[in-house]
Amino acid sequence: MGANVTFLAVDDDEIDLMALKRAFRAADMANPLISAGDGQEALELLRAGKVDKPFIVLLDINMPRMNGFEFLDEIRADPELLRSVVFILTTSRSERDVIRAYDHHVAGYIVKSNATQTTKDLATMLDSYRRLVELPTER
Amino acid sequence: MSKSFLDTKDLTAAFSDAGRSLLPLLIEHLPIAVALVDNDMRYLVANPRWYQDYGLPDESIIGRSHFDVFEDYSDYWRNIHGRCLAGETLRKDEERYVMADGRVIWVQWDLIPWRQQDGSVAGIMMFTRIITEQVEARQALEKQRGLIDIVLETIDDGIVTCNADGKLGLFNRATREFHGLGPEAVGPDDWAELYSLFQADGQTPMAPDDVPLARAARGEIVKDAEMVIAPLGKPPRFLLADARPLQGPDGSNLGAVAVMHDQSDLRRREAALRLEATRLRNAERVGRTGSWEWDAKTDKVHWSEGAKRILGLPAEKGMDFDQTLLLVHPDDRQGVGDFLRDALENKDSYVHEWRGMRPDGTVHDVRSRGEVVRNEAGQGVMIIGTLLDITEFNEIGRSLAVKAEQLSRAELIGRSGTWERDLSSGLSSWSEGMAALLGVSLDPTEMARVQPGDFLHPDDRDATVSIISEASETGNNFEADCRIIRSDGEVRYVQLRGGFILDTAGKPAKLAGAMHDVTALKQHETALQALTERYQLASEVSKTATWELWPEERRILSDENLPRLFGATVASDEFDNWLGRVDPEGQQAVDQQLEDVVTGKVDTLDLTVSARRVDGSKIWLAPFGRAMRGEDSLRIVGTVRDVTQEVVAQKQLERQQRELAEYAAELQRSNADLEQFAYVSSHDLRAPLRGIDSLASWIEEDLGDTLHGEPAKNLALLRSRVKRLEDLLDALLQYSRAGRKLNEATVVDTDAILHETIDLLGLKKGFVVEVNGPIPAVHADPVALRIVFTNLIGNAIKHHDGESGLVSISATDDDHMATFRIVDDGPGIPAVFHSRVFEMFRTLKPRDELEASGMGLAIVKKTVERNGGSIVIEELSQPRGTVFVFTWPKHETRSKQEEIQ
Repeated sequence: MGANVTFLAVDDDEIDLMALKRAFRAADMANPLISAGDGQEALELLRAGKVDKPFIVLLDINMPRMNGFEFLDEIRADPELLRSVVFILTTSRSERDVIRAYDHHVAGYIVKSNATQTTKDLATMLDSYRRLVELPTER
Repeated sequence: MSKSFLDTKDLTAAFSDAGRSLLPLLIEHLPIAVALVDNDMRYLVANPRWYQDYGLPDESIIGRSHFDVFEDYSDYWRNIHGRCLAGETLRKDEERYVMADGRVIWVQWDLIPWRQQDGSVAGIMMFTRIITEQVEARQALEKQRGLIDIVLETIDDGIVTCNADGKLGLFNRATREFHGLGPEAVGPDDWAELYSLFQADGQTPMAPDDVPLARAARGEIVKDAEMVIAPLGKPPRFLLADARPLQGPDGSNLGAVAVMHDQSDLRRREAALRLEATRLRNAERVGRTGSWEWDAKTDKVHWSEGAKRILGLPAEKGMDFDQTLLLVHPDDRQGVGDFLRDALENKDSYVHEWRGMRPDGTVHDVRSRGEVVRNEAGQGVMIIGTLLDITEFNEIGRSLAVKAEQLSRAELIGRSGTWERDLSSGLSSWSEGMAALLGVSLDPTEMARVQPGDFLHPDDRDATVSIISEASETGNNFEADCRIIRSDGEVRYVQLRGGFILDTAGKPAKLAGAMHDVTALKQHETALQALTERYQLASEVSKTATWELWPEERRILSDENLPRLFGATVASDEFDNWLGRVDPEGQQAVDQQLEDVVTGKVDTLDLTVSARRVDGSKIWLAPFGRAMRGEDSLRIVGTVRDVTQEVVAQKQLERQQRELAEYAAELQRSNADLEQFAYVSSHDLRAPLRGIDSLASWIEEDLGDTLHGEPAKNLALLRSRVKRLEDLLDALLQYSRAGRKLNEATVVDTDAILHETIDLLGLKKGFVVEVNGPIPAVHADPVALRIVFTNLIGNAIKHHDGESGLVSISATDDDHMATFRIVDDGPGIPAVFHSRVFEMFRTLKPRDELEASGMGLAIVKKTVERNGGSIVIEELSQPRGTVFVFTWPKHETRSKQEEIQ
């Protein structure tokens, strides 16, 4: 189990996505990594069934069109998506943002500060997470 | 009896039948004198009574001639005897007879001729009875009756009788006078009307049945019946009538008698007496006097009504001397008793004053005056005295004394004096106040020496003297303002008032007057004048008019400033003239307030209105007034001030305040924008920055060992610049958040926070941070306080130029603020930079030399100031070292207002 978890990275910064891919590779994670440029695109992918279950969403906050919180509002209101596991991956250290994120029942709030090191730690954490944590799989 | 006795036949028979011997015995014992003579007047028989009654000698007169026996036989008797011898029987009831010894006796006699058988007169039988006593008694009675008649005619009481048939009998002089009538032949039913009888009131006619005599005639005994007789044209008489029925010894009705006693005089006297007594009582009451008598023998004390009133005695009450003394005040009692007893013995008259105490406890003053009555032996038997209640006099006396004292004091206090000058003697008398005014003593000799005129100021003397002399001619009072020179040389302003007191002939006898020191008044007047001028000037300058308004009459009185305010030249007392210049809204407001004042709702008028001056320019006026409520009048007194400048200024101020508020809101918005900008930009800038850093690190990673030389160094520089920019962005973000409320501020243990901060700093080797003395607790968000300490201590160490250094921290405090000093021994900050170091991004060294954002002190300053403190760098005399001094409030300082803002 866990080997087939799909990661959906929602981030408008291409470098961040690259960093994520590099980290996955470095951590020998073979899980599929799908990326979306903003919340709107991510939502369309999910609703179109383009993301296989089980999946974990890695969500940035500040994005064009639909930001991270607006995306959270959408999926928590959608019976199909409300159980989605979401990690916030952001540069914002704002206390307000942290609280608001957990109010939307995110699995974790991770600040991307020192780019390289953080991303490596993140990949390691996600790898362990995918292996240990049971995720909802029903259609 | 006499008939049979005188019958000769019978006599003869008696002699012959009963025995001749008994007849002489009978004759002898007859109680009357009896004698028998023959026609020659010779005695044939004479009984012993005959001898006895006429004082005849003892020898027998038988046979003797009557003429012999009675020697002074008169022709009177010869004639009488002759007539009898001629056959006539004679009798006299009362015959005056003078005896031989001169005694006068009264005799009743009968002379009867006795005849012989042939009927011829043989002699005379003489019977006599001495009735002297009876006659004398009758004569005395008659005399008495005459006296009674005189008495009846002369007494002043009216006496009237009537008989059983109601016929008036006795009607004495007084009665006739009362009625102006005599006894008329009318029955009892007509008496009342005929004789003008009235009841006691003198008005109601008396009923016939009520007439006293008539009542008595009916058998009633009348006593003290009051009645009035008032015949036409005569003054009425008040009478007291007694009447009683008259009865014969056998109880038969003889009629009635009435006695009327004229009381008119008595009535008048009584009335006069009553009036007198009333006058006396009134006089006693009004005069607070009374009289009393003490009869020392009986020890009875009698009090007049007035005396009782003075002493507070209740009703009629008999008293002896000792009881009387109880009416004297206990303190005086013994003294008064001793005094009166002594007076009774040793004085003829006395005057004595003492205090009385009435039974109700009130105390009063009494002046007692008395005279002692002495008997022939010179012993005092009675004291007759008067009492006078002098409580009021004494009180008046006392209050007069007080008044005089007060007057004297008042004069001294009031700087007044009075004087009087007798024009004939030229002598003056001064009051104490006058003496004090002139600075002289009250010594009579000195007063005699000087005149009030002596003290007049030479410059004022002539004018003053002429005023007074003019008054002496016209008789009017005078008044003069002048100066005097006191005995000590001081000049005072005085006011003289006076007048002349005229003698009975109407000529001035005395000059009397009062002097009043008005120096202070003069000074006040001068001051007042200056004040008034100042007031005038002030009200003119302050553009204030004063006014007095009668709202119901809509009449206003004002000073000249009111027209001036309106630019008018003419004053008007018609309120509406002025109100008409006020704008309609203002007029309404004024009228509303006036109505509220008139109806008593409020007492003040206070508002601001705009109005047009005569020249059309707009002014603002602020009338203010206060209601003065009189008995039935209402006026409002107040001011009206031109407040145009103030109103304009106020409006300008309001506009400025509005602008300021708008500006503040704008500022707040822009501040918020700035913070938003700082926040967003730090975030948005960081993302690409991180991208650059990531890319650089990947290049490093990917090139691995092949990277060296210039490219490696450039890549390192690239990354260091990314790091610096990140730090700057962090600092900027921090600054934007500085002072923002993060945690609830409480009173915190500053000392603990300080030590915690020092521990977290991770000191470089060789550097020491010391905390000196106690550190006061402050009211703070611990995070904010930590930011301040971290930056200041961190700066001190970071910018230190030596291998080792010392940072010392101390604090002082007062009630409100704590003051912290952070002292280092570093290179110091040049004074010119002292204020500039707090600016944003300000560093004093190139960042390549010392990596620093230049935001630390800006953040510190913002934090301190946002929390109500301040921060400065202390000027130091030595070249090295820096001292940061900042303050921090100990208690919650933000007001609610600030909180809201």
